[in-house]
Amino acid sequence: MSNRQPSLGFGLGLRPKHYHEILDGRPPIDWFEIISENYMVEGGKPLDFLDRVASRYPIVMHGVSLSIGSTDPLDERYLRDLKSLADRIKPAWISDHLCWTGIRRINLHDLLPLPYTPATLRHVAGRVRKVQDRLGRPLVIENPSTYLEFNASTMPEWEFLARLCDETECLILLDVNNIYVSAFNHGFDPLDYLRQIPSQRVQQFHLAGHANHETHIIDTHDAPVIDPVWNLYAQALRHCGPVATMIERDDRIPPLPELIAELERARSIAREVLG
Amino acid sequence: MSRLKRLQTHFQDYILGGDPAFLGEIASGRGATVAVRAAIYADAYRLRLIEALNANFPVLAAIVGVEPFTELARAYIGEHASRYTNIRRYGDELPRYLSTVRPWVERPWLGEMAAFEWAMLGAFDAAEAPILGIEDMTAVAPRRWPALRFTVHPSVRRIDIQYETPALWKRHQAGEPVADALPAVAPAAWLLWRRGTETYFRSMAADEAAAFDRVLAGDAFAVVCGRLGGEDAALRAASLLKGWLAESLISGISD
Repeated sequence: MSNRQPSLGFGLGLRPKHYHEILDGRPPIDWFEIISENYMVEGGKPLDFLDRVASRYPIVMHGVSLSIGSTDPLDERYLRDLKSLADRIKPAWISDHLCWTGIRRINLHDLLPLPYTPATLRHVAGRVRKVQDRLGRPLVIENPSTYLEFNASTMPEWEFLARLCDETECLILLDVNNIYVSAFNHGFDPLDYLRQIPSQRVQQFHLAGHANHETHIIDTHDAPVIDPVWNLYAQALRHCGPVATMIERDDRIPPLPELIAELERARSIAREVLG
Repeated sequence: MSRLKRLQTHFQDYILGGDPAFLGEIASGRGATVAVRAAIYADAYRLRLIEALNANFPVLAAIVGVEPFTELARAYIGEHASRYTNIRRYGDELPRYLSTVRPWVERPWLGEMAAFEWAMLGAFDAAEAPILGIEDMTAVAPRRWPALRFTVHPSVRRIDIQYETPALWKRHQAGEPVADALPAVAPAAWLLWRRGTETYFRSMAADEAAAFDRVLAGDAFAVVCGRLGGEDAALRAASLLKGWLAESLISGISD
């Protein structure tokens, strides 16, 4: 059984550069993902635009500062503000990453990897349950791009994610590019990873571009999706069925039509794979 | 301390200060070395905060120039870790830093520009609140006026300006080049605020600033009038108040 919601179709990240085009032109995009923290402000222009976009398109909230794996206590103020934004815009779901972002109340503004051990699993699962209780909905957790692994780890990331879902009923935001990046950086087969992901738990896919530095790949979100990641996306669709798909672009953001064309490629692959 | 907490302490201490104890935690694999893998996180931390400071202080960055601003940012980051979940909040101490740390303190217009840009950001993101209009005031009985206190809109920021900072900020907005030597001007208090989704700023005459400071302090209208002095104090106070209301600076009254 799965508590995942039906696919929303094909979406893009809502970025200020495109606000007016989205509101004036009603482009053919099924839904938008927002970076939650950018709108966890008290008022002003960003919230005003978001309200207007949310009245026309489904919205999904994607956070970067929940720090679900941190050994600091959960940030109650953050959770309050996250819930308040969710109450305001009524997102289809709320996601964040399998990572930690800092301790001693410092935010390193990065998605830092965790050692995958039974102790970490107990720690993260307890916090996921608390967050789900606060938000009154399942949390959707994304696999991060990672550049290092720990000697302490005793299980692969896919197993950690799968067990986390079993223990907490949380869902997965499967970043197909992140599987590719981490597979390259750590020398595993991305298809092995993909096949072990519990398909019925996957609520959303992310696609993005990255920067290849030969010895390692950095997840930069500043370039188009590359062919091997498109191929992996086709495999992900075969594995999971129709799942809401979104292309992330956070730097060197191109004109909207360029992103819509890239999104069309995702639609076309999905049509081909799913019929 | 749990094993996870110890690992996170090592990792964070490495990112903030280069503590090599962390490197022993990392599994060696093919491709990049352990040191390179760890450095990706340490470099990304600084680059991300430098980018945030550039985004939050674009005019200051343009005045200082790319390389010196990056140096400034690195020095500031070294002394100020982020404690904000929203990276747009990072840089709150930069105006004070520029006004107190050498060599920046020798160019006092830099600290003033940073304060101005930070005030603009604050006004931009401030909470929504009701706006009181002139018609709301006409309904107030005259006997209540002396004890009346005002709540200013949450977006209102008040700063002291001694250089051509607002004019330079406007020139930068217009795409004109900016110089790193701002002429001094007669010191004045300035107001920045948001009306709807637009941000505004203007200077205040000395008597208006004195009166508005009493309003900000929560004093009664009688005290505000008292700060103006002279025979026409009440008239001048009423005229100023009318202006503040028309500019959407006042959110509420109480007595």
